[in-house]
Formats: sequence, structure tokens, C-alpha cells
Amino acid sequence: MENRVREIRTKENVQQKDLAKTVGISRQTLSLIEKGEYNPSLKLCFNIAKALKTDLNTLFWNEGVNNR
Amino acid sequence: MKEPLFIKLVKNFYGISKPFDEFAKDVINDAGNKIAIWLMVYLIISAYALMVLISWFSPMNVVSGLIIADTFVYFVASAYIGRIIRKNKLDRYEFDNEEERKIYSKRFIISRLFMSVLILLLAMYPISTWFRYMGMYQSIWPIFIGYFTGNLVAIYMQYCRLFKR
Repeated sequence: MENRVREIRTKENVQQKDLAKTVGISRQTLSLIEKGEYNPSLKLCFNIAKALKTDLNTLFWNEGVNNR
Repeated sequence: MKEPLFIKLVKNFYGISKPFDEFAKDVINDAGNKIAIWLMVYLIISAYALMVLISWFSPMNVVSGLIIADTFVYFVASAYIGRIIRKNKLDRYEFDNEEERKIYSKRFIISRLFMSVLILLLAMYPISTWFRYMGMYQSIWPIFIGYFTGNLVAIYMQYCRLFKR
């Protein structure tokens, strides 16, 4: 799954450790999500989107699915 | 959010130092399921093997063999889960400054020492009783001292890996 978590987090000027703490995960997990090495659950996706004041479609999408 | 007692127990048992998030849960569930399958296979095979062996050899020797085999399997399972934890870096502490590093390292040493002493105390009576029964009384203290020294070395090596820069 592709994502723009790092891009939007940087734009929102939120530090990795702060976002991780807000959504209740470790920095390592957030880093894996940002690199696309771990697919988070829908609930976690929602929480991340909410913490970054954005929506799911902006943050996550499936590679090859033409929805953008 | 306060962690439930069970989560604290799981984290302490596996040596996880980070928040028990869904990634950690996935890793532990996967490894735990594999271990559970292998343990069940081992249990059923050892039960059938015991039935046969006990009719061939002295029950005392068979039970002694089972104790050694169980201990060996326990160490293999521990080593496997330890490898998975290290591979996925779940035992790494996330600290930002020297103060946090000191707090975490102190907490790490105290908890590991506490667990070592607790396991040693729990194992002392059954192991010494068994060794005495087997007529190997002289080997009891070297084994306990060896176990504790080995544990101290392991704790120090873990400390170096996790906290020394």
C-alpha cells in the first residue's frame, strides 16, 4: 500500500515521535508505515489521517488502483 | 492510555520495550502460533514416545530424559522468539536524550536482574531435589553459579546492544 504519511506529516510540521504517541504506536511502526513496509489496520489508518487532519484517500492508496 | 495487566505480562515475558501496537501484536501472534504448533507436535510425539520408552527402559531414566528434552525444547523456543524480537527490533528502546537513556537503562537492568533472581529462586528447589535424587549433589552449586553468571553476562551484552552508542 502506498502512502503520503511522511510527506503530509512534514508539511504539517509534526515530528515522528509526536504522531506515534498521538496514535498510540511506536516510532518504529510509524517509520515502517511511512516506508510502506507495514500495512496498518483500517482503524490505525483512520487515526493517522485524523491526527494529520486529512482523509484516508489522501493518505493511502493501493498501487495500481487508479483512484487519484 | 494505561496498559492492561495481561499486555504488561506479555511485554515483560517477551522483552518488548515499545508500545504494544498492532505491528508488535502481528509479530508476536505469528511467532507464537508457530511455537504453539511445534510445541503441540512435540507434546504429542513425546507422549507417545514415553509410552513406548517406559516399557523398554527404566522409568527413572525415561523421566530424566524427558526433563532434559523439555528443558532443551524450552531453550529452543526461547531462542526462536528472542531472534524474532531482535529481528523486528521490538526490544529496542526509543529514547531522545541522555536522561531518557539513563532512565530506560536503569529500568532495564533492574527488571532483568529481578527476573534472573526470581527464576533462580523458583528453580533452586526442584533442580537441587532432582540432582540430589540422581546422586549429583556436587554439581548443584556450580550449575546455579554458572546459570547466574551466564545471566549476568547476557544482561550486560544486551545492555551494550541496546544502550551503548
